[in-house]
Amino acid sequence: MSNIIELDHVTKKFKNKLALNDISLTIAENKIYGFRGPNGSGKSVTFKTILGFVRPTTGTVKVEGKIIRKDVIFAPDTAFAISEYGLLEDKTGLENLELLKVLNEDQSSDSKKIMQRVGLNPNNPLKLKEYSLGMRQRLLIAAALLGDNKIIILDEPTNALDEEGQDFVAKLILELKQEGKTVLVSSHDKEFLDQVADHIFVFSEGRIVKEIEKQSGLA
Amino acid sequence: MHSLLLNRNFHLFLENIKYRFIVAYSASAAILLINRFNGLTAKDVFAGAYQIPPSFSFPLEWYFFALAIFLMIGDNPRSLLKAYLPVHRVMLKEYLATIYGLNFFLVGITVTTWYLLCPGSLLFYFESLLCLLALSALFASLQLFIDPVLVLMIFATLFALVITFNDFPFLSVLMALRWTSHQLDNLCGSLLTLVISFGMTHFLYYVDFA
Repeated sequence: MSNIIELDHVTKKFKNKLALNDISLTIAENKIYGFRGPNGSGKSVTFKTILGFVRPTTGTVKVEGKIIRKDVIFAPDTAFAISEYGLLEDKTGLENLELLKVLNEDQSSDSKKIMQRVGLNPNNPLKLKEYSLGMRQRLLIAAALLGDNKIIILDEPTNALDEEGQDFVAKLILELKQEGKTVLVSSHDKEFLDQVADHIFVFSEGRIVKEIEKQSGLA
Repeated sequence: MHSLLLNRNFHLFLENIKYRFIVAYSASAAILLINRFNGLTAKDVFAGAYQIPPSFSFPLEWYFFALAIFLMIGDNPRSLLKAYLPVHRVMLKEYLATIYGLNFFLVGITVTTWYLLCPGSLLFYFESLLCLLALSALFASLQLFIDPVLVLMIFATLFALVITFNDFPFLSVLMALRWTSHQLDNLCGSLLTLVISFGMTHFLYYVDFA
């Protein structure tokens, strides 16, 4: 199984704060990787570095063989649910997805089906600004499912979701793996990651302090 | 350019600038109308100042007009890039082109309004337009890297320096009193500013988006 993402001695400093401290990791195709740790431990910054939103202070990030911020500015073939990048507050969920779809010249995705897949009603007339936190979370995941990206990065996807919502996210992640995707998911919920991930990186103060390899996720 | 992207960003642009635009645009229109009612022409309103030491004059009206467009644009370029860029959905260059295009549109309608409300030399207005278009591109490019408030302060300082020094290059063309002696400066200055502004986008590889 080939490595689709490689981080080599990556550090990231924000002013005087060391957010990532010598992170090296490899991500193989078609597996689920969990990133666990308390808030501020470096999980989100790692994701943003992989995506190309953040430039590493030192070290290199490779995604599909391309060096981020050298060969390309943003990671290729990667979708994400990190924050409301690119989503418009005064549009409905469906309008937001349709707009992203058209901008992406994506003919294959069916926005309505994707909304239903994440448990949202595509006919809901509410605008994004009227969405609850849980609905926003689901819409972010829906946006990440647009297109046919090989890598999907989900940052704290269970935040603001009730127990039923968390089970749904776990099921969805396992389905994505079955579809051949590589999923990177962060959470501070140990149980949730134990349930879905094949491999877990435990973060603390910008470092990976532990790696846990599992036989397989609960498929 | 992707028309849907332009349309989307146009709505975000309007939403972002609407209050600043209403205030600055109305204020500039009101000043021009009052001056016109008092029998003054563009040559008087946009006269600026020619310093003859030891006296020093500060043309507040000119200063306001010089800064008005940048007050309207505000932090819009940075906000469009850092908060609303649909990463992976559109080409970054195409997206940046919409940001510059929207700035140019705002400069165009504002300067045209000034001309209609207070007619004067068409060549003077045209050269002012050219200069302001180039400056709006620089204003947008700078705030991709620096805090927009700081960029506005840089521009405010720059225009204060233009007032202070009679031979200030390029930007002196915005003053009707100095305009004729700075025409060549303007063309070269505008082109150079545009090249620098667009060239700066290459350095986006070195900035954080989040």
